[in-house]
Amino acid sequence: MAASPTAPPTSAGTLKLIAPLTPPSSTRTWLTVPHHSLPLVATATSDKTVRVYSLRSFTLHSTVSGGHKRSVRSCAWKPGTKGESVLATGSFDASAGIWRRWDMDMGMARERDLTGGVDEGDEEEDEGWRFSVILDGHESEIKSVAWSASGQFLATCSRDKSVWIWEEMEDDNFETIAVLQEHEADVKCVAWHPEEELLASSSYDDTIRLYREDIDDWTGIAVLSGHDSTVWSIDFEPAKPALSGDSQADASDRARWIEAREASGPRLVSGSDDRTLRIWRRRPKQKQPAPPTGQGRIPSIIRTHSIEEDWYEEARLPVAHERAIYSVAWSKRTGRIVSTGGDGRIVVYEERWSEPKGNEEKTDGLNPEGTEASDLPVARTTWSVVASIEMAHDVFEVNHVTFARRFDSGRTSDDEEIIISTGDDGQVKVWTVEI
Amino acid sequence: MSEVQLFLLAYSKNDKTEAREIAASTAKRLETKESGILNVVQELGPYLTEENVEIRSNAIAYLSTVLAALPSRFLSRQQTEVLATWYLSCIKDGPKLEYAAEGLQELLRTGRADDALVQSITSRLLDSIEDLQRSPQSDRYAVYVLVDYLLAVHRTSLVDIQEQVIPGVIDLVSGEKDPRNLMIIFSFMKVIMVEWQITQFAEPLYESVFCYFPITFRPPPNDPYKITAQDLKERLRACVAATGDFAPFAIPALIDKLDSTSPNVKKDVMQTISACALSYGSRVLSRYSIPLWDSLKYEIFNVQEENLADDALNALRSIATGLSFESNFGETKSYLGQYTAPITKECNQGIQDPQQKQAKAASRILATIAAAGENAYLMVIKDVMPPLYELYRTADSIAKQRGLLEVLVELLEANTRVWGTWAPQQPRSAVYNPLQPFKEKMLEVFSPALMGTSKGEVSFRIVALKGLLQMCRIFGFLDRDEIGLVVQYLNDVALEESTGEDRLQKEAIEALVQISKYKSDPILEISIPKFMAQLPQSADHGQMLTYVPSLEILAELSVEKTIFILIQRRLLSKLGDILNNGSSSEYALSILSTLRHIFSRPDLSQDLSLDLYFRMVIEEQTRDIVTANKPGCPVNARQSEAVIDAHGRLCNLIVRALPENKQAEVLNQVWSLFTTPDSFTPVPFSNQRSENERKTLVLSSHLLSGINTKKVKLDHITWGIESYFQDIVRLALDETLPGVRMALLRTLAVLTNKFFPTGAALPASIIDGPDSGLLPGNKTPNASRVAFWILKGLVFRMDTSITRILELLVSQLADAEYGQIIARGFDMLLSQDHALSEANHAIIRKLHKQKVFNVCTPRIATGFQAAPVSARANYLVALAGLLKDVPSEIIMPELETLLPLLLRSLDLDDPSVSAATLDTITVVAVQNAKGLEGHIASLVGRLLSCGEVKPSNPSTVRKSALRCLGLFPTRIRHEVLLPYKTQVMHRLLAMLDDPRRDVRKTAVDCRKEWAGMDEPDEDDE
Amino acid sequence: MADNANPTILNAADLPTRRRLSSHSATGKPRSFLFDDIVPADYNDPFATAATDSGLSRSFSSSSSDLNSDSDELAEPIDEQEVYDLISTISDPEHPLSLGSLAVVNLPDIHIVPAAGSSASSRMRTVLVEITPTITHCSLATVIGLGVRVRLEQALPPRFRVDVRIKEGTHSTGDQVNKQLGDKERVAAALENGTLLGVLRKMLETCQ
Repeated sequence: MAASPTAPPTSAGTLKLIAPLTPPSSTRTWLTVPHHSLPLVATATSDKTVRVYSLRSFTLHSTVSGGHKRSVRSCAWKPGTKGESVLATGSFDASAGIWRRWDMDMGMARERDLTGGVDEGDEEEDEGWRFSVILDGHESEIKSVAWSASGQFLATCSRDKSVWIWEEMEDDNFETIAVLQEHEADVKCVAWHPEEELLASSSYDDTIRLYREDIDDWTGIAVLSGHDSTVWSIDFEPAKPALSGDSQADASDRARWIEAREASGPRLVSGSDDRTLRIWRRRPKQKQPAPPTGQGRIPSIIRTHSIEEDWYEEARLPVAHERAIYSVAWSKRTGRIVSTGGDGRIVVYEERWSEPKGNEEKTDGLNPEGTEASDLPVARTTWSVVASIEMAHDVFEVNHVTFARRFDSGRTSDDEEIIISTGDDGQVKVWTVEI
Repeated sequence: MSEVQLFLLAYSKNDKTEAREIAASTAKRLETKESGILNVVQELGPYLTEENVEIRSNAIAYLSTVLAALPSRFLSRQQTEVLATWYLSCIKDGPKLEYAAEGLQELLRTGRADDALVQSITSRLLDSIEDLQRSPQSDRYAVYVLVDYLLAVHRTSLVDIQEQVIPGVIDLVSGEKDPRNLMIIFSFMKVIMVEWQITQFAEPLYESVFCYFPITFRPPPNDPYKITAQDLKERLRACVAATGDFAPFAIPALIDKLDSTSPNVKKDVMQTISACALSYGSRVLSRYSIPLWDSLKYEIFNVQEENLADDALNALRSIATGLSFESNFGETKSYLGQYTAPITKECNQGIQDPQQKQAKAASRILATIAAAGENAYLMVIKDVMPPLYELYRTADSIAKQRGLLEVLVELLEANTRVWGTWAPQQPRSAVYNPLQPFKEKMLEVFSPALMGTSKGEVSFRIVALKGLLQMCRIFGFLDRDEIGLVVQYLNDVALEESTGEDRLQKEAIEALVQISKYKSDPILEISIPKFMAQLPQSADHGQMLTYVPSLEILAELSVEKTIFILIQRRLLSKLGDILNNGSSSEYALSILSTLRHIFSRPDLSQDLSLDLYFRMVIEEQTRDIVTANKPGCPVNARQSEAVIDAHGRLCNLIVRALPENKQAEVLNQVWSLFTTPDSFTPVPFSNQRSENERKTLVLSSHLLSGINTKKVKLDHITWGIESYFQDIVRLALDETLPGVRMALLRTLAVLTNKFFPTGAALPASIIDGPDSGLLPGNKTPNASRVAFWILKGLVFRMDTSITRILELLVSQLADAEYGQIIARGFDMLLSQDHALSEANHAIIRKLHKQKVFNVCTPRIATGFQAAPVSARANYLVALAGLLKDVPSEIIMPELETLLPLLLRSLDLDDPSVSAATLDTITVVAVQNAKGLEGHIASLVGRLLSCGEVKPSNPSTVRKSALRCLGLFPTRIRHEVLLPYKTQVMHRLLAMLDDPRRDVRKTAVDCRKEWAGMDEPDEDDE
Repeated sequence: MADNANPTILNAADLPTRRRLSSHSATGKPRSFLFDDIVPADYNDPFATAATDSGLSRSFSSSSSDLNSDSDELAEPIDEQEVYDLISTISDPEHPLSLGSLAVVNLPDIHIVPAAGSSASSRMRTVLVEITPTITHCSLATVIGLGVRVRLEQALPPRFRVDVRIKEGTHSTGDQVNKQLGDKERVAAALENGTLLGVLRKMLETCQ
């Protein structure tokens, strides 16, 4: 059922704008992804380019252009690269591009004050981006691209209802190792498990699907339905739970909850056109220990059990949006979740231990059918809105939000976290959360 | 050297004229019998066997040129025969087919050739050329010219051997592609097709031309022969339509080509069908009329493109006309009847539900066929009228009834095209009008529809009104009383209180005007008295709604002469009454405005009752106003400045139409205003006159400006022009009442423009004279006002003194404080003013604007650079004011120097300067956008900032800036504009939210234009 | 074959629009052509203003010249009639007729409401346009809906959220069409697809 339109729940905190990244694009910007190590972000823009800004100086570092004939809808940094940054781009022209650039000026090794060193205006910098290979195959607009945690695989999805998985052999030679046609309509988003070779995709057909490699052949292992409309965005929970355990409730309950959480593995959050955000959780298999984390493969001849997995909707976040939710992100550092959408609002949620069991009836989690009572961890958690802001991009819709490490001179601690929002006004803005 | 050699030498040097002279001298010798034609041929002998092909062909040319120089019928038959054989041998295997063909044609002209010789030459000609298409275009062309000559001049002798000529010609031309050649082929083929009995050759002849159908020829750029696709199409069409024998082949082919997807081809096919229908003859046409109807109707019922539907309708009408040429006695149904039967049947079905798209198409078809002729009209009427009434009577909704009435109106309109209207020299059929029996019924339908329906049904009542109007227009259809009845209806509708939407009232008035053009009696006897009666005896302030609607109707009705005369007489007497019974000045002003509206007729000067107007309006009413403004008079409407001004302008209209003697009389009374000295002393040369008295100067100004000084002799004026001029200056300098001051200023301008001989020193000296000079001595606004208006009079007649004064004025712009006032002056210097208009016989030299432009703009441009920053704005204000009245063709050549200044004037944030500058830039954008290409960067930025909401940008400036920006995409090369597209699209977002609706609309249109420009690398998959 | 070869056509003159100025101006005084050239005396006296308020930037005297009449900044909010005037002249892809005359768009089916959940003072607005296809299985409903949405997104200020829906019960696959029309990303992609853009441009060409 669609959430009833209400004003955002009163939250103590708010988001404070640190700075907009300048100069803004004069056309709609779709999404911004932070580099895994360097103080850079890449913004996919509808003027067929990607704008790379520096998180130190909040100014344009370089522009990736000339590769696409239509809007660039999505991009992703290849994780774990050293000395050379690799950016994948997905465009409405139905092609994905791989771009490379030497990190000569931004090398992590030389930890010097980079603001001086980074010379945005330096023309020669801009040609840094080399268009190394184009990945053709999709029949219509590409909507999202994502690298697997190891960087071995690149997933792309498109309106042609298919999800493609590419594997980079030696340099610049990509091979299509899977074409997944599970969805019944336009696939909107792909996201990889933070550690395992597990891929998730969400679609216009209101469902989320998960895929794994089963004896060198990728196949769908789960269908998560429940949303009433297009599922625009999904993101996995960070590998290790970051729950703070400061309340006085009995420690052992929490330990058992954390242990159950580790058994079922990182959860998944999804944001949809039906204005709801839902947390999905894997129900661990009874007899079979959780499959090893991805390294070894089960020899096919003796494998007896099927690869299917069973995921259920564990909880729903408080309703805080009036229109479609276009983007949701789960912070790798604080475990918080941030969402945004057509109503121009950015909302941050946090998971907290709820009061001891008994007097606390389930506030928002559904009692997933088919789970025995004993199965449920005794301790309970609840999600609540900790901060939100209206008209984050003036009157324009906000297309994307994500978390990132703070690099600029104002940061207070080494791993301080910021939120980056991308809007229809062509602006990319950097926020901090103030509770 | 012999003449042959001389000719060959000249010809090889391509000196055609000299060659012709040589040949002419040979011809002279032939004429004087010094030598014979045959020995000329012998002389040519050796050259004909030369191996150099050019010499051989030039030798033939020599003979042909000689023949051309000989008089016609100079050679004997025998000589003609010999030379003909010689030429035919050249054609067969001669070097240059072109010269041989030209020669043979000259031979036929100068020689004597009887039928037999012509026939033999022609048949030998046709046999000797196997494949003409192999030779070059100019050769082929010459042969076609020869064939065209033969068929034009010797057709009668060739008719006996037509069995041989026709196939010969068909082979000759087959495969021709060149448009120039095709043009001549089509013309002589038409001659064959029309003049000769070609039935047995119908198919080959048809094929020989129809293979070119449809013409898709695209003329090469700067084609010397200027042949267009349309020329070719028309010539081919004439051939296809030449004879009914082609019908069995042409009609089916045309019908199947009608399915083509290209609109151009469809248009060509339908226009060809029309041509065939009008020339094939009824009997032949009738065999194909139904299949033609079945294919053409699709183009109308499922109309995709409006103009194609028109072509289809045109074709249907041509068929109807074509079928009614001959009547088929004996058969039950005439050719036309067989054709109209299925049409009326299907159209009757179409109008069953009148609101659907098919109904609109059906009624257009019926009207088109009906207008084809008397019996076509009769056929349609007798099939359509009965069911139409039945439908109307049983229609269940007003919308349905309106659809049916619209069909009726279209049929009435078609009737006027056959039976004509009351207007003189109209095509009128003497045949009995088949509509007569339906007249009563139609009146019974239209009248209640107009008068009996609820007021809200505006569209329905308008259709009914149109029906009644059409009935009145048809010649001899309605009698006097019936028309009178309709006029009464129209009067009532015109006076109805409009429910916010006045379309119906406007239609009613328009209908009355149309009827008054040919039947003025009912308007004179019924309408005018009715509307005059609506005018209240008196009206206080704010009661305008009680009389303005009727005055508006009277103003619009006054078109025909007789009606004008009655209305003006009644209004003038009404004006007198209400002024005397103390009505509001508003009421008087409204009547005066109406009078001024109807008096501004071009033919006023030929009006016989001009003297009457002179006496009643100029003399009496002026005198009444003067007496009403004497000191001590009670407050009355004649003291209102607006009424005085309105009366003055009415007098002005009459004065300028008066003959010289009357104008001279007015001229002498201009100050005394037709009063006796004891009752009123003219204002000039007296001071401390009351405000009301000074207001009479407004009348003097209007009277004076109407005088035609080219006709009226100035020497017997009773008052001294120079002394009065100086006193008017005095009065103007200290006059405070704006209306009176403006009248005095106009008087000065009129005096300097018309009443001083060119070069007269006084006016110029008043401006910059050493002692009393207004400039630069007197820096008050009044002084510059007087100076500029005097200058305006001089400028319009391009007096020699203006250059000096203009230079002085431009130099004054540098003066920080005074320059600002001077700058404003330029705004009115060239602008139009009713006092100095052509209609008021002002002396306006064509080049005066060019002169002022040439004197001022260079000095303004240089002055601007040199001026201190504080005074720079003055130059821009002056420039903007000046340029708004200068025609663009004068500005364009100087664009490069002026544009930068204009652009900077947009930064002054001065509303009136911005407005003037934007007007000028818009004119440049419309007429010579290329001139802007070099300045796009600064233009786009400034136009956008002029479009933003801020105090210095009133809504008119914002709107004009956005309108100008919106012109660019359709007038300037896209590659110049595209770099700015994203910036414009982004900044226009804010203007979509402008508080004013009209500015928003302009922003929406502007943004749509810019969005429409494709990105250069836009590729569609 | 065309989906609906014989649609019902409304009389253009009956359609509600502001484009035709009614004769009675707002001020009650009949706007008559009789008074067109009645202009206050000092109207084109450029000096009039310079003298009286030379200090201020040039503003015309209080005369009724429209350059700076005080009613100039009278704000006219965007209302349903203005939205109707923006879309009623869009041409049907199938007929040379407008969506207004085919009653595909109608004034009563246009609703402007403050954006849900926004504060009272917020200028955010949502405009809902319900379109009525000429026949229930019209395959062109999506293209028509797209045309209306694109026209409004290009013509209305960004503070307007545009929702275009098929009117309840007027189309067999109304929900699917509505979902497509509500998907902002698919609309953006459609605008970059050459062939579809061609159709849309032809439909919007006739907008006055």
